[in-house]
Amino acid sequence: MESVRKRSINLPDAVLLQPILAARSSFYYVAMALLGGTTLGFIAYLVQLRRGLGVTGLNVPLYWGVYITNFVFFIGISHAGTLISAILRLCDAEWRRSITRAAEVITVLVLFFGVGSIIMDLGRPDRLLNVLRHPNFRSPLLWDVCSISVYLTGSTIYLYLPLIPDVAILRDYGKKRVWFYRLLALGWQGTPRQQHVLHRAIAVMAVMVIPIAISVHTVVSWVFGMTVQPMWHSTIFGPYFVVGAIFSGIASILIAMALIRRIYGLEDYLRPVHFNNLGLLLLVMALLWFYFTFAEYLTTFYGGDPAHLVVFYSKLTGRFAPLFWTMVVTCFVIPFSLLSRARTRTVTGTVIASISINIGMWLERYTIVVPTLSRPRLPWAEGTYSPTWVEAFITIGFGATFLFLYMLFTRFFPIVSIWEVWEGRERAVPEVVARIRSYLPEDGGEAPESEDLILQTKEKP
Amino acid sequence: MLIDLAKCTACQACMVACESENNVPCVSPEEAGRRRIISWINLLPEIEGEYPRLTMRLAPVPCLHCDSPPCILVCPVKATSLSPEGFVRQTYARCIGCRYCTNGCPYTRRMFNWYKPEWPGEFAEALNPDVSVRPKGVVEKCTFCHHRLMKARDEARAANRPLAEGEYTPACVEVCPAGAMYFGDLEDPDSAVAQLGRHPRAFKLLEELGTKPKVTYLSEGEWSGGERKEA
Amino acid sequence: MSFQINRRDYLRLAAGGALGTATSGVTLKGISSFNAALASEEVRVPGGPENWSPSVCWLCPAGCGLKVRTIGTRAVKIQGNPLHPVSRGGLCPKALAGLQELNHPDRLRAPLKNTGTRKSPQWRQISWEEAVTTVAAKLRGLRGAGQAHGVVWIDGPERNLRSRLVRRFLSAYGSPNYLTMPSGRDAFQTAVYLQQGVDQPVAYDLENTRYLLSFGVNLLEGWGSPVSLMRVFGRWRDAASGRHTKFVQIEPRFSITAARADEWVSLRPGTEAALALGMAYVLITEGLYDAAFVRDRTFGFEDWKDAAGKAHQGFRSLVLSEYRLNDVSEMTGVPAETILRVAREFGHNRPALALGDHQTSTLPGAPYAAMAVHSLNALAGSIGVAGGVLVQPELPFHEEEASRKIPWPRVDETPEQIFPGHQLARLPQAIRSRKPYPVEAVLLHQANPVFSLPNGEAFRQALLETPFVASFSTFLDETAMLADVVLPAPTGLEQWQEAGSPPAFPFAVQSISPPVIAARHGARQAADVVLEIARFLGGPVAAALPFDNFEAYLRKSVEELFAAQTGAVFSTGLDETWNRLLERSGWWSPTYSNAEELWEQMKERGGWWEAGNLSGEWERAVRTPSRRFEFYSQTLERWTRAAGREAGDDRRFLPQQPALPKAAAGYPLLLLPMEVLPLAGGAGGHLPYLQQIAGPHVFATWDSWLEINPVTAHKLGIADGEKVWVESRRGRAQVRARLYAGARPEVVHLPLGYGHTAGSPWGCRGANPLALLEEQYDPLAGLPQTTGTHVKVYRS
Repeated sequence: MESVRKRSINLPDAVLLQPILAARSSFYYVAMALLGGTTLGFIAYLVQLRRGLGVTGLNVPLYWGVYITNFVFFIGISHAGTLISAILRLCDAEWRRSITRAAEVITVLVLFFGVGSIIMDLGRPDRLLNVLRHPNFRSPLLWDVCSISVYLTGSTIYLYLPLIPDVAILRDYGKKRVWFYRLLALGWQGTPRQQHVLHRAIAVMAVMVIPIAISVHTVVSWVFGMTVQPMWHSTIFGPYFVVGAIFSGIASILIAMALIRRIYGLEDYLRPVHFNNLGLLLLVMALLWFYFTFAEYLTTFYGGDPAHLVVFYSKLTGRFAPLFWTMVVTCFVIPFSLLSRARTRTVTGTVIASISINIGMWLERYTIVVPTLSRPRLPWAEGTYSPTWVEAFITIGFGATFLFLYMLFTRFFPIVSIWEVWEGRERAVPEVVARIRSYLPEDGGEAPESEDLILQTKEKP
Repeated sequence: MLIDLAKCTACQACMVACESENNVPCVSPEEAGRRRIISWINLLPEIEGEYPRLTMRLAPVPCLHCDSPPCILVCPVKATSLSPEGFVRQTYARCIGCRYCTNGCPYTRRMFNWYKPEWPGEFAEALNPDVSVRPKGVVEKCTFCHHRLMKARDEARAANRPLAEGEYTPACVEVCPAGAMYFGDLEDPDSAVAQLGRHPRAFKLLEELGTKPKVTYLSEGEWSGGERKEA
Repeated sequence: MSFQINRRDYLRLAAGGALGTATSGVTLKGISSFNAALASEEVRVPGGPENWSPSVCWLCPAGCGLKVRTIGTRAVKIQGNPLHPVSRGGLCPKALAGLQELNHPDRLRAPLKNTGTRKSPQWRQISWEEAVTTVAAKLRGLRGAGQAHGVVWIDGPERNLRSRLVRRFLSAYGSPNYLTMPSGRDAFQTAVYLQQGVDQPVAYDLENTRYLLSFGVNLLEGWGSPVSLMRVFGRWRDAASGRHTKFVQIEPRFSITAARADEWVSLRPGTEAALALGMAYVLITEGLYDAAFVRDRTFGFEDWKDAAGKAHQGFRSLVLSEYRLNDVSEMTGVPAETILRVAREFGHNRPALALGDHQTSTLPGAPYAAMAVHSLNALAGSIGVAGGVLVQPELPFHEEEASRKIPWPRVDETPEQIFPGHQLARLPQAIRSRKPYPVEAVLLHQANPVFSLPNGEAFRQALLETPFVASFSTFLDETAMLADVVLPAPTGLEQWQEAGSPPAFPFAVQSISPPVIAARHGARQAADVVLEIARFLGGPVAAALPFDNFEAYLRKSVEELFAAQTGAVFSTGLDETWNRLLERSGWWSPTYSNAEELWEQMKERGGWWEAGNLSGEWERAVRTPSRRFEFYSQTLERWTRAAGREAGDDRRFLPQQPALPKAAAGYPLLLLPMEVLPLAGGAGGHLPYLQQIAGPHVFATWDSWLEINPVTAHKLGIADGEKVWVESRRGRAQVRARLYAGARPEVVHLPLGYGHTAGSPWGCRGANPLALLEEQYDPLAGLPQTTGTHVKVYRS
């Protein structure tokens, strides 16, 4: 690391700093478009504040709709990051190095939109602080408040820690906003002691963030699971939601990676192997998701509780069947067929699968929230719900604002962790070789050229 | 409360009495079409069979004021709670309008104010000063006409005597033309509600959920007379 | 470590901080002002001194007792008057919705004068003085020109003393034309007249009945006095006292009444008479009828010979030959076992009562059908006895209208009918044909025949041709739209209220109550306006009505009540039991000693009533020439001869099943209008409280709905909630279809009370089924018919 300081602006991997140093004009067009979306959402929310939630499509008994779907969806995506990057870090998965940052940023940003969705859904947002003033710890919604705020703090720290060395680089070599980076760099000099502390801190945070992340989505599922409503009251909702969250999270990283790679020309850093590996992970999650979905619906079907079955059939064959089966296709059929074959597990293939999964996962949340509410236990009139423009605009506004903030982040900080790439190049290769050697029996005679061996075994069908 | 479905004529006077007593806002036809009608007590129709072998149960369902109410459990801000008398009450001033309680209630007996309450023309002239008008964005529900209890209790206290049975009844019970609704102290084993509650026809709505409703129903039953035995 | 901050950084930081603080300050300010804005939205309800006053419900003919809570000058709640013998503290939803009528935004705000044409009226607000003078001057002119008889008064909800006042006015003025809106009870009243010779309203002792067969009577959906009916229903089913009364509803549709009955017998529409006669067949063949009653107190049961020695068919042989069990079963579609069982139950449980009084759907020949049902009462011996059919006791007021004979017939007479009566539905024809004489002026009081009569359109056309029309109305409804002058009428809470005995209620009741609050929008009580017009007219008219106002007239009437030395002021049930006990043993112990005390007590408690007893009931109930109940109606025979017609077959004077309507090609479904309690009598559509609860069994609110059997709907490709067209030969209407298993596969139903075209926009929703019905009149008495229109239903 000492050597770093001596280098000129012609640093290795300087391409990673390019988005920060200069913006292309297209950046401003896109930013304008996205801010336009934000404005739409803002106007819609003002209308809703003024007139009341009556401007939405919500009604009796469909008290929850798109906002809560968005909430679960955004919180789900937040698992993208922190959880994935933490697992990969803890597993010493070396291919993680260029994707962790992109993932962690998604987490931190998207959490705000998760919480925002809840605020959009409140009849009295002005009384939001009552949650702190009169907390009822028996309410799963309050558990949500707790776990999401811990998660937000944890994942922000977890994003920030690995960012420090890169900020220092910007402080030292950048020309713009040096004061800003100086503040954030916290006096990072890359001394061995600092490096040691940083590595320790990152490791600790990685360990901590995993259970928090799992708890967050478990608690989100408990918002539904802890009621007695048909097809909400389910014990597997916790793990089911966590799996779904990681599923949509990975899909989101893949989309983000593809965009970054394309826009900033980072094909060299985000390589097909990254897409391949994440694609494999996605495939595993798709299978897990299918398993959970199957288990959940089969259990309901066999249980035969009429109240549950009414909802069950409304999803499988009734009014929600189009949405339900679209969900099955987009969450399982498309991703499975694309990802299970190496030939289609390309950058394009994984991205298509990811987009499909995110559509499907939004539908999954929608078909969890809405059908249950439309068929209450007592035979009141069957509820119907169609979202209004207000809900659509607020959703668009949320999406646009999220993209805008993400884009803004890439203009301020390197979206691929520079120091980790360096570290990988300088230290990890020998470390990995040593590690692999340590897996093998020592009396195996002369070891062949290590890399050849690995490649050969890998290429064997 | 106890509702004898054998006596109930499904006239819905209880519903109108409740709306009028409790300042329930008037919902326009368009909003009614969007299912935004607020009604604290409602007729629940259960129709079974095919023509001409049909049964229809039309049961008035107010908030059942459960002993272990799922709605109270889920409110994040303690805006709903069990009163000392056992009523499930709603603190309008604290409710944040998240509608978790409305979804937690298996009976769908909680209502939300989608808009600022409105009374066209001079309808606001008929507002009851004893009942606060709910602002927009909060959840509201049947109170068993709690304001009447407070009034009756004040009167009893002023006269220095205990509250007698029948001195306080909710508006729905009071108006019932068939006398199908009973109201009283469930803890007093001699009260009409407690006595009828032990009737073989007694049942509770969704009893299996363990919510322990304080509203008991008597099922329709059958004509006790019959054809005389032919020799 | 080089974690240093130079001055420039510091300044930037400070600036940033300041900006941040400012922003958050603005945000906080924004939030707090936002909160303040939300807080200011909260509605504060003004308080004031609380008061409870008795009043009388004005929304249906029953006149239930109200207890109205006022806060300051506002009426805030309507409750039942627990002392009132009809309602005993209970109320129906309509009565409660009265507050919405009181505070209705569409109420008339001032008298209106039409300055445009009849067809396209232009309304101008005028003063009360001008309004009253216009009407009075018109009446004076007509009277001066000898056209007084050409004045017609149409009363909406009939009342006792107010109606008497108006009749007295008309009689002094010189018009015989006091007309009332038709009631569905006309067919049964006709039957009672034909078989019992009584033209007073009948009543039923339902409380003491053990077995009740209701032939399509909407017992729990607005019939008679709905609240007293519901109270009786509750008593039949009291958990503590056991359930001894069985109530069987016989009706094609699974109505709410049918659902709440102990048993529902579904039958082919219009075959009620055949079923009744089929039951008579069972009673006769099994000897389950009251043989002593039939022998001693009826006429025409057995075959008989008249004075001329001519043999006539009796009821027994008619039933035995023409209404055999299996034939009836086939005709009605009711299984023979059901007929047998129900008839046996009817025969075994006494007192048993057969009700055929008021059917929402009626066929041509309805009086014959009503006679068939009423004959069951004779077989059960249930006439003039406890638990049976009674004649409503008369109130002890003097009728003075007959003091001056008017040499003109009523304009709505039906001379071409065998049994001449009076039918409001005839009026349009009379106006347009100018027979028996031209109608010069029509005065309407809270009546809206254009909307609520099957021939509403004819009414509209006729009123367009009438020289002068004035309407006392709370709303600018369809009929008021055709008036020259509209006089805003107050609601019941704003005026002196009174009501006589409710329909079908077996006791004499007179309710009286003072205004609860001051009249809104300067509305004036119609009775007061009539008295003012009488003063304006002067002469004998003024002399006949020497009262300053309606209150004075009521006071004077209470003096008559006091003079009758009977009955008691409303009181608690306990007191009444005691009073009744005393009265039975010949004591009358009033709580008042003079008319003034009676007046004060009536005002305070709501009225006076006489529990009555059944001694001498038979003499009151049966006034035929034979002093017997007549299976074979000699009255009808006499009228037929008087009408100069061939008497012909004996069966024309015996109960019979009328001919059934035939489906026309292309119109496969029978349309039956139905009544729902919230809009009973076809009224109340302008009140949101009632619109919200109109169709609870199909979740219908704010709109009329077509009840259609799911199987039929499936065949027609109609989904639940879909908009469909209902088309008859007369017209078509678009409504929402509701799949309802309680509708017969070949029948569709539309609720009455929807589809206003004026009044309040709230009422102008849905479709008025009456506009689809083909105009038909009963040949016997000229009653308008509602059954028999076939329709086709298709998707829109």
